[in-house]
Amino acid sequence: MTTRPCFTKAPTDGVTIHCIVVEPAKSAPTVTDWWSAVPTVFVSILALWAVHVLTRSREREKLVYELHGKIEQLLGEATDAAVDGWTEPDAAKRAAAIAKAKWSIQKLANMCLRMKLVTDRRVFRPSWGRSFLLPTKIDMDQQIVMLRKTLTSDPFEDPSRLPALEMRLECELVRGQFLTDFDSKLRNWMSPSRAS
Amino acid sequence: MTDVTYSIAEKFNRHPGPRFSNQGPNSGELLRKRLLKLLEETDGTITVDLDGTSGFGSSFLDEAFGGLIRVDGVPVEVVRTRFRFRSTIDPTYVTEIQESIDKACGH
Repeated sequence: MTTRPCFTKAPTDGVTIHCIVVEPAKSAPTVTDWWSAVPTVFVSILALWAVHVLTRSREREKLVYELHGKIEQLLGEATDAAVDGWTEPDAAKRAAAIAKAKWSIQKLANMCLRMKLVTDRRVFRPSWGRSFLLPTKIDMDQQIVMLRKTLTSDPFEDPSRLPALEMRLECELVRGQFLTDFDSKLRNWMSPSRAS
Repeated sequence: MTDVTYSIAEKFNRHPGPRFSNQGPNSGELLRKRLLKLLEETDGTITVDLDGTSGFGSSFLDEAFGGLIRVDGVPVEVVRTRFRFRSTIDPTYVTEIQESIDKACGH
């Protein structure tokens, strides 16, 4: 506690009046002074974090569905172009279809790479003998390699070969397998608890 | 030792072709011969950049890289230590090249 003179007045009758203001002692705010605000701040930060996580998760799922549609479309384009490349009797049209097939597969692979990066996350999965935070992503690398090998393997680019009509079925089969694997991986990613 | 980077799009062609030279231009066979020459001229690591092209066929990749072992008789250790492969657009090309190299050396 500190005191300081407020004013001093000297009346004419010779009586002196001293006025003293008593001020409480000033001290730096301590942790306990802020204690009551801590729960509010904590709940606010938690709420902001939850909103951020949910928004990011929703945006990511939206992007995954968009990529899913694009990948399906590119897969169709690549397979159709490859079927044309295998079955087209006209040399010029066949060359164009072969070039389009290779280009489409490359675009498809790039889109699958984006999908892999976007879906890369860790999920909580309690299970005996396993890590609780397991990495999960939609990785289609092996399926892309298989697709490219089936669609563009020998003698796809040999100009001297005859149209290979039987390759239509091969192309459709590999496309079907790609889609089956892709949908399965997408389902597992959306519901990791059901993943095998 | 000099390390070099060989960009297929810039130093070979943006439109890779078929497996053999008699099937069309910019073949895997032609690239294999260029890589073999580069392998003899340099003594460091050769980084093959696969980006910037209009796409590779499986047969092209197999001939250009697996063919180094299968046709030209380059030891697989040399191919594995001297060559690096890079593709940011489609990393599955690198996977396929590694598979071709494994297949060529009988693994």
